[in-house]
Amino acid sequence: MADRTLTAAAVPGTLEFSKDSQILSALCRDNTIRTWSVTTGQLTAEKKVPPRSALLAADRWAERTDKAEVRVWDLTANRQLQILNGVTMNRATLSPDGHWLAIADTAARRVELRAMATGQPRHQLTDGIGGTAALRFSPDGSLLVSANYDNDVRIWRTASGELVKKIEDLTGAMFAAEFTPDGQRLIMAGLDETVYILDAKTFKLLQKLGGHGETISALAISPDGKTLVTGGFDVLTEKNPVKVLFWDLASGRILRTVRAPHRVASLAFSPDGAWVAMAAGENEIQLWAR
Amino acid sequence: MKLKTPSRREMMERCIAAGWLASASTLSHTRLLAAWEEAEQQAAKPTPADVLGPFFRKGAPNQRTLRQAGEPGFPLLVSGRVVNSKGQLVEGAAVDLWHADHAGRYDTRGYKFRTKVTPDAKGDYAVETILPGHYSDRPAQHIHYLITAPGHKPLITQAYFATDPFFEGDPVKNWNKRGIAASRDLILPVKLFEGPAAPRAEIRFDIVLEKA
Repeated sequence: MADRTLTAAAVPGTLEFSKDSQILSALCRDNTIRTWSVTTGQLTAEKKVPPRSALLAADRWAERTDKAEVRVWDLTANRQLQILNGVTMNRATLSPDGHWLAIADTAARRVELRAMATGQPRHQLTDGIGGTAALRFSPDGSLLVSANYDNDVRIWRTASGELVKKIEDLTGAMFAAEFTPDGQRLIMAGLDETVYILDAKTFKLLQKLGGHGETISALAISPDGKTLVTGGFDVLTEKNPVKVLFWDLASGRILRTVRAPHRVASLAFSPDGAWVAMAAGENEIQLWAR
Repeated sequence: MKLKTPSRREMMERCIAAGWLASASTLSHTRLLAAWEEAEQQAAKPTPADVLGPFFRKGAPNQRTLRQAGEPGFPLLVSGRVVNSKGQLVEGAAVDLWHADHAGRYDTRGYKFRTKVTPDAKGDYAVETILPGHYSDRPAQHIHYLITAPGHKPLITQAYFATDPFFEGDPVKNWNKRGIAASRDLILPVKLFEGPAAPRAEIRFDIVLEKA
């Protein structure tokens, strides 16, 4: 059972906590960003957005227009912050300091790194042929990881645009990838039901965790770096509940298993570490206290 | 000494000179030839692309038969030819093909209903399998393709079935219902055959690759 349940009018997707952990935002399947107060559980705001928009942070979202253009908005102030020309957004992620936006453009088979202040390209990074499944910066923003549906994972240095590592020996796409908060490890998981823990300098495999037992669609790492949460993915989501697993990262042991009603679209820890939020199911976000 | 083969343009110019090719148009010979050449090169329209989807797995074995005896699912033969946009054989092509089982489930652990076949000397490929099942995320039956060949753009696409109940008997009208297929051309007619034990369905999916 969840410790708190937030009710949305549609299937929730990406989740983002505010930096002060007070607000949780979700981009829902009905193209609406909903915002809740974490302390009261009350829905505080709803914002209709165009289809194919992306939630970048609790108060930032990006719109994909029909003109190969991305517009970044401040959700709270309802103000346009930047227009990025010449790029079609299929996935996007904001650097932790908010200065850089990485945009995956599937048709162009690349990831664009843009400066938020100017909208100008910093680097155009060549990605795989299948479309980007997961895109994340390292905590200090120095590295960017892209997991492609063609099964390959690429890691670039954001300052130089240099491809630091291309992981080509996976046989299944990684659907989620995150660096640990200390930036020492990269953790990823996906189609092949396995959690991969890599050294974030050498990108050597340190450990594989195989206990989830189903395809993994989402993962999150606690701010203290001690706990990993993974969420399941099922093709036949209507018939098959999936699992959410809590792992002790030091030992690789499973701490807790929770049933989720449907494919887990997103998992997020609040920055203060007090909550884990899960988007899965018809119209609910479940929160667990830690 | 080996003679250089004349180009298509040179041959056509010789034909004009000898009276084998005559213009019945007011266009100049040069413009008419250019139009003809262009039309010839467009002989085969590149196969439309579609999305890769999340279930692709690298490293599928080269196997022609994906269906085991007694397995559930309606028998299906998928065949076709891989050519370039001039209709010519493409050297070194490889066809990755994968789909869900009869119940709409992909094999995420192994390579069931997954293969990577090499077309034969004529560019033909054929795979014995079953009709894919339906699943709620993408409620039309489909087979995924990834085709690669040296010197050509990799093609990611999907084949759909005109007989699928999803198209309600009218794929021309319903091909893009719920944004399902990237192109009407990807919805293929189905032929039914009387098999040795049970009927069998057949689709033909010819692949036209673009030069890189």
